[in-house]
Amino acid sequence: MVDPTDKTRASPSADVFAGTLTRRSALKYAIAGLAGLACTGSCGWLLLRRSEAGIFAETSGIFKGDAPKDELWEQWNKRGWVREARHYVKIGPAVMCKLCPNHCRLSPGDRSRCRNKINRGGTLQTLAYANPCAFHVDPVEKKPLFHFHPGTRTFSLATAGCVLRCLNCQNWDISQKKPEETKDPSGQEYRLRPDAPQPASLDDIARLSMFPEDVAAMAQALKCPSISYTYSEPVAYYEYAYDTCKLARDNKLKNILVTSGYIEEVALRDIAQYVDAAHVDLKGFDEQIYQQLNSGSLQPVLNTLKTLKSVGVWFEIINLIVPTYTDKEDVIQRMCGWLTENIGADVPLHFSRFSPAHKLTQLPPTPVEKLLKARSIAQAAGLRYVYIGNVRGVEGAETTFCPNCKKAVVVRDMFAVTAINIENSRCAFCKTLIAGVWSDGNMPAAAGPA
Amino acid sequence: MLSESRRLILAAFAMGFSAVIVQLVLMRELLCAFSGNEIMLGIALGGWLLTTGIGSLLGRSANRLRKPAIFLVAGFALLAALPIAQVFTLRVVRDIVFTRGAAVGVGETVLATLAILLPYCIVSGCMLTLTCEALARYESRRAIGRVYFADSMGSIAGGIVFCFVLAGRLDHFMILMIASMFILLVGWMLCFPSPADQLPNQNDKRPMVPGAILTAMVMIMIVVAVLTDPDAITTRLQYPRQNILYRGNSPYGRLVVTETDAQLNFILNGQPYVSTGNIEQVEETAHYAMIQASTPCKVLLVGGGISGTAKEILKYGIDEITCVELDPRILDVGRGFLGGNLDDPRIRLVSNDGRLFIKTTDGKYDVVIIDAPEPATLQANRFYTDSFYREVKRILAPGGILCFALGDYANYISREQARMLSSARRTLETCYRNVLLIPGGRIFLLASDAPLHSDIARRLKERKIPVVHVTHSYLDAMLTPDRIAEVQRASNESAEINKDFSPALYDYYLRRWVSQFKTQFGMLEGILAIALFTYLFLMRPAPFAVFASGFAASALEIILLLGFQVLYGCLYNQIGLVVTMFMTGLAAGSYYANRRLSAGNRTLLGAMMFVMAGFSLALPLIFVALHRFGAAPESLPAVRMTINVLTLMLGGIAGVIFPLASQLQGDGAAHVSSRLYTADFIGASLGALLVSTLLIPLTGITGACALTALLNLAGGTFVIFRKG
Repeated sequence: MVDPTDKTRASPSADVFAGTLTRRSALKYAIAGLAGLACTGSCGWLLLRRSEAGIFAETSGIFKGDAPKDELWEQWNKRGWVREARHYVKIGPAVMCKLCPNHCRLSPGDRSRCRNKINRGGTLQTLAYANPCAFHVDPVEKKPLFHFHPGTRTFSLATAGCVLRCLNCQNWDISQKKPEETKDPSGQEYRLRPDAPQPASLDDIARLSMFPEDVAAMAQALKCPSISYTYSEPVAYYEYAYDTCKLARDNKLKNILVTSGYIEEVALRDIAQYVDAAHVDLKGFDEQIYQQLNSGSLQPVLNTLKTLKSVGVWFEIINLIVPTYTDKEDVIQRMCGWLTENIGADVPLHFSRFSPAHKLTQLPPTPVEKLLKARSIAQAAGLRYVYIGNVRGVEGAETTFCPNCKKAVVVRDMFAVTAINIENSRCAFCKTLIAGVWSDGNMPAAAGPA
Repeated sequence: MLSESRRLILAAFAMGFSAVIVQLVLMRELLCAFSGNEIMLGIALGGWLLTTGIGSLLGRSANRLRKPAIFLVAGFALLAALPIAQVFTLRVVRDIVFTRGAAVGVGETVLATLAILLPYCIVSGCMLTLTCEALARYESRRAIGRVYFADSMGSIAGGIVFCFVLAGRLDHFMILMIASMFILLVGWMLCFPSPADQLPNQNDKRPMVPGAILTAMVMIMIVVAVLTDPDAITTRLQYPRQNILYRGNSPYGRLVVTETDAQLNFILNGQPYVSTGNIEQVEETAHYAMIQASTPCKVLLVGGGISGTAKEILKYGIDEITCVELDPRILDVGRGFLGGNLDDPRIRLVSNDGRLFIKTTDGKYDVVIIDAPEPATLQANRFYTDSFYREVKRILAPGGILCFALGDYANYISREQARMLSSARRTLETCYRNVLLIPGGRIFLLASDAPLHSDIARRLKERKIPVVHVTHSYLDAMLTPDRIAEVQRASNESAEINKDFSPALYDYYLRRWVSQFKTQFGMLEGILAIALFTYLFLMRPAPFAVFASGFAASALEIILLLGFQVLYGCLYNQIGLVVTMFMTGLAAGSYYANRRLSAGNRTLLGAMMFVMAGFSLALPLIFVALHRFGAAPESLPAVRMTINVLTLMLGGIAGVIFPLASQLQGDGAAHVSSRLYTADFIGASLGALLVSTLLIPLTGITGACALTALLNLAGGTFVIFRKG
């Protein structure tokens, strides 16, 4: 069975590559070489882009050339889902948003990092106006706000988009999406008002509009004394929140901002004049981790806390303890020290339990022990109202104790208030002033972060 | 002493042996480092085959080497040292390049996987071609086929040793050390000339002294490296600020138990599996289902038994709860650390595949709770399909309840998530009269033919069940009319029914998962696609035949494995057997082709391609038949047997094609073998990637098989009708 040509075939001297180079193989080499170069180049470019963005954190810049094209823009415009942005400057045909510390600089056709703003013909426009994709009636305790009209319900809403990129975002389905991914401007206009039919399908939710006056009307019809701008990030839909706040104030409704506090001071002071309470997410006390997990930075948030205090808005702080990241006890201690010193001992601090979500799925949940330790650290630092959230079966985790007589003045179970022993903003037992805005509506004069 | 050609055959065997062990270890490590879904699996497998293909392409200049023996020895030293270094690098560098604890996007995963796999795979691909070339100097044109055969035999041996001996006993570094020692011994042997042989090439001086020193040095290095316990060091680096209490391997994966502030965390394949103190998880899983039944006596819990759910369920005064857990290691380690969760005579622990247990048990259960992972893999998707729900129904007592959780709902349900919920609900409705969605911390789905109740708080109070988490206030807050209306709206979206061989839910899940990450890799993908098309376009008939059969072999093997898991179960030794069957078929096929088939038979090769096409077309039909007639527990052994035989056949067909194609071409062994190996590896990598991540989710197995058949038909036609 041996083929006589075997030897020549097997011998190395018969190699076609030894001498001649045909046109075909030259072409092949050229293409392969080009493809190889392009592959290496693009891999390198991708890596470079990552390292530019920071220490390999999940950051991203603006979305180049990603603004909606004419047809979609027209539909969006026709719905009234567009407004010119507040707080920005024009730099020739480009614009720079001055709302949050990201300071996106957009050329015409670009989209901001929060995904909601675009440069259209040299003006900065927001696409997140009157088009909430999520709205619910929530207990105010769910925000969580514990010292602000306890036991009341609050009409809560959100649009898509966020100024941060938290790896553990629970609401990433809205916060990390463009408005166009959550809303549908086609078909008939559908304004959700108390007298309108309620949405029956996801299509209805995607189509519906809720203008500021509709929001106020809905809140009143649903017997909610307040409106919360929450879930994603009100800074990302600042214009919508601003107009709604103003109108709600006129209608004797309270306004609550649930925010990361990642906002410039001027813009914050502007909206704060209509805001009654805020809940600020202080995600840690370490610049590097802020960048790594949230692609933001700490200093602007601390600044927001100080600003809110100076303008006299009632606010509470939440601190999520992410295991092996923001659970270092010395850092928690520094954070509590800073709060006591700069904000005051009366600001409520909620420690919250992490559980894996969005991209941060390879870490275990926060141990209860750790949360208890954090609470003792905060109490030792002098903070008077310290809570633990997302935890069950821990004695007094969500109870307000009178700082003087140590008796329980507000007892909560999950989001329900089971007992209130506060009269005229004072402890019913020892008459000590309890910081907060209690249902008699008067801000205590002496206490409170203001 | 062995003759030179025998030693080269042994070298090919050793390479196959080491390659399969290194591949299994690296794949498991990659799954731990990135994510445990099929996309990762496809990327890892595809990346492995692609880089090995590139390696064998680079080896094509081997025929110009004047002293291949030196390169062989040096290559063996590298093959021994690289895997250990690569695993070490992966574990240490992962959290430097990416954010610790965070999932990594698809594009970055591809780049990282290629970077990690590259060194070993390039060398091993090169070495295959080099061995062919070296052997060809003694054995002429049959060399490629013989090396292919020996390499396959080595893979079989490596696979068997890994599955049945190493995986459950040693850590990954120790396993790699064993493979490396074998490789080094063979490399050492190659250093010395065999007196029996007349060297055809006078320049081929044996690298006796330098070779022996090199292999000895590498051997010592590896022993020293492994003695420092790199597994302990790297595990500590992987889980900083956590006390490592246990680290171990089982055939199913890597289990690490850590302690953080008195909380124990079971981390399975890099993902948190169970943590103590997770009352929410335990109570929600137990009570929503248990409170539905008026007097439950027998309960079945699939997965999550060690978390304390079983203990919680005992509050209902039941007679018996059966906890089924796939991995016996989890039960063993769980008993050791969390004995309190399991120490009750009414808790029965079974180590088995959940689906196989449900298929074969004689018991009737009042409540069946499936605490399985989300349908992120085809393996997990088996617990969400219509056939599975019918199998559960068989073991439910009249009016019995099925319960599982799918995703969570904070404040918004996206369209993607809505489709998942809707698919799950519609699938349940194919065999249960009532379906109820409970938007708790996660979204729970309950199904039964008896009425279901959403007034859980009242019923818990009536039954006086003590709860910490699912209290009246909690349920009031979670089960608001508003939230219930939202999940109802979501589950009314249009969506497809989830079937075993057309896994719609898995498709929806993957799409939602991918949507978390930026996917702006259009350019890179475009370049790769152009490169691939150019490659295919310029291919000659024989390499194209090997490409098509490589594609078919890996695509159909994945489909057969899926079929096996669906129809039978996911027991590791059984899966190992299926893979071994494939390799045995491959080896037998190539042996037969080498020995018995006349060389250069173009028509025969074409005919084999048509056989492969016919096989892939028949596969979906066979699955349908097995699904229909193999549902009864008695027919399970027959089903198992059928799939094993099918796999053997697939391996046989692929095994015949490679040597036939290699005899068709003749340009010198290194050139031909590199071309064919490259075609084989690229075909196989494409098959693995496309089938698991695109074709099955989008078109079901029918579409995947049809495409495979088409490719092989084209290959056969090409071979028969075009010269060149």
